[in-house]
Amino acid sequence: MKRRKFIAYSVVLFSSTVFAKEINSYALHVTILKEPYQTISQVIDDLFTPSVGMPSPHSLNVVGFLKAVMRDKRVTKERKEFILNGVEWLNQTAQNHYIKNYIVLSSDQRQELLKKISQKQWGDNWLWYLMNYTFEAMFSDPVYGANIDKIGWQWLEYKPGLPQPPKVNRYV
Amino acid sequence: MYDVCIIGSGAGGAPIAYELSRAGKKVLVLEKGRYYTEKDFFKDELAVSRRDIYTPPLDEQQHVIETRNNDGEWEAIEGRKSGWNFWNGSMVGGSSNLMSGYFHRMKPNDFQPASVYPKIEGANVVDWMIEYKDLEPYYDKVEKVVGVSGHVVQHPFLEPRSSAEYPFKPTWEHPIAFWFDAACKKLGFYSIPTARAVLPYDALERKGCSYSNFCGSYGCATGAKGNARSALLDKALKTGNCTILSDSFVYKIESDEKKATKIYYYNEDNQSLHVEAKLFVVAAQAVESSRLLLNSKNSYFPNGLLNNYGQVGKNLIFSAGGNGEGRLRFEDLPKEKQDVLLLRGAFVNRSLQDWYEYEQDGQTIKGGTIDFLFEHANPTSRALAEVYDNDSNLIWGEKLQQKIKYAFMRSRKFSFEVFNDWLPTDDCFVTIDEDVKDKWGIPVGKIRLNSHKHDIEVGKVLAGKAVQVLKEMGAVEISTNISSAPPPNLVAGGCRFGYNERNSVLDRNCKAHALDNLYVTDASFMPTGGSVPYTWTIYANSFRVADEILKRFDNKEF
Repeated sequence: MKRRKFIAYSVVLFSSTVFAKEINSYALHVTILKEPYQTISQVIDDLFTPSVGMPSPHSLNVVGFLKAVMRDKRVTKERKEFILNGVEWLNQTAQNHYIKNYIVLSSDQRQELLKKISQKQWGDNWLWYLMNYTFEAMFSDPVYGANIDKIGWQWLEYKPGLPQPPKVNRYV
Repeated sequence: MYDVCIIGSGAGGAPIAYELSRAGKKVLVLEKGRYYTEKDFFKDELAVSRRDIYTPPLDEQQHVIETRNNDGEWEAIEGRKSGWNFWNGSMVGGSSNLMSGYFHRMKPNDFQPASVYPKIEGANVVDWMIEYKDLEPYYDKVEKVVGVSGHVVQHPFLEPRSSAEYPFKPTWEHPIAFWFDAACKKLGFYSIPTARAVLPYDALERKGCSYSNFCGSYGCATGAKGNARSALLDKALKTGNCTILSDSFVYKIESDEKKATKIYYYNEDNQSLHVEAKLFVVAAQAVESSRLLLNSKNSYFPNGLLNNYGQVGKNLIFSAGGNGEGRLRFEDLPKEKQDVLLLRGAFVNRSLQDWYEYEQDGQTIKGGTIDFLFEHANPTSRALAEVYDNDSNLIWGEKLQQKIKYAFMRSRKFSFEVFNDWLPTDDCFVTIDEDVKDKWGIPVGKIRLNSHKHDIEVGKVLAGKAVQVLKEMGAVEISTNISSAPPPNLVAGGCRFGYNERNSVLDRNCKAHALDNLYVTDASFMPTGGSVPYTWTIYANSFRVADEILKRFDNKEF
């Protein structure tokens, strides 16, 4: 992280194009999802089905943000493994109850399953982390590639503090 | 050779650099963290509050933390594994960059706690070597040099002041401060305007506050906050006598029997370099200052520098207390109050000290301070606070979205923080763990945590008073959280000052008992913490020590 911070700092000093690729690659827009992100994306959709004006997780680029979190050296390896392992545990629970993976369950079955796992310690923690990163995507500065066009802030009429970070001053 | 080498650039080190460089001494400041200035500070929640970019990554630098397990045995766990971060503000200017800037002086009785208050079994409370009157001129100096804004009102625990008023008027105050005043008046409490190390307008060669609504945890983009870099080090640099080396981690101090002789540090390229100076000042924050001394063993000090009597690292203290909050709802407020409740940017600036001491069972108990504020503006943490229902079940879907929308747009949480004494005990200290190394291969600090049960009892009494105010203001959903969790940004002790080296590390002037040219000027010297945040006292004491050092230079003792 020290090194990456140094890179960002150097850009301010020297405006070098060498680093442009580096600083443009936090949350990329994701079009095709493979597992485990397909399941994670479905769970996030099930947790955050838009209502009362909330923008959809897709328009916020939540999954693109979460994939960036997996590359982020400031997020611990243990945390990343837990997020990914949760998909496996979710599917084990789905198989135990419905003999199917989560992704192919009906909407009602998926909601029922989310209720079941939320009563377990791992499930509560796992869902909490998915919410955590969804909120980070929703409220982070748009320079990180989520909260596109500030739609997360607009939903709640939230006014960010100033100055907001320009791209060259992103931490990664 | 430098006249003075200072290890650490925060509130403990910067006043020494400021005063000595202005007096013509050649000063070197070594800081482990990066050199950030106003142009590097942005209100970036992800970087600052979610990813902690101002503290080292725990897989590179960490602490080992010892706590009691359920069987009452001490159990050690690496911070890397637990995620428990005891770093705070690793950058030029130190953690003062990230403070909220609540500035309270300690009270006269804080300097004689062993004499004034009943003895508490299991607590290592001692009187300070100085009195309030010794520090008062320096509290006053900090107001003027660092910049403190506020307004003095009379109350039973107002400390004696040599200046009738603060040099700067209070920052722009949120109308809720006046609702608070009215509630306190009804309850018979003394509402105190909280002094803050924030300039309300351009002054002291710095810009005034931009009222951006982000102070605590964030660096100040205008320089209004009285952090050690913008208030002191920038001016020290202008003298031409001060050099600051950032990204420079000091890992060892070398000494002979009587004097420190040189320090060793790693620079940004991981090269090991050394520096000689006539005088050395350690101000690396309490835990790291003890760690540096303990890692600096030599034949004269086989157990660590200054540690021949086992005093280094002992009596580590934090600020005890906790916090609480209540929700003010639109539906409970008249229209005109609804309109102003969501106003952003202004400060609350209100405290209570009615129970800095209180009577209980015929005894005078040491109480503390309660500061009031709005919940932090960070939206992610505010949204996360809504994800459980009243029965502690995780909620999602429309129910959660309604709750979040209500929290952001139809109500606002009003909060408080309690500061009371964390009593020093035999089981709260710093050692080093020889088996766990940082990225440079240096043994890390090992922190044993213990709080005295009395701390929580006092915290609860104070929280109860704060709840009364919240209720009077019409808040609902009131909750309190008084615990023994140590706040890493409010840490002191480890190198107490005292009368001899058998029970302390430093003398009255924060010079090591055991070495003639080594000082420790961060919060390590404090035997007790008072019941206020430490920063003002650290600044004031460091200015005091700077005067003592200058006298020695004048007397040609170096």
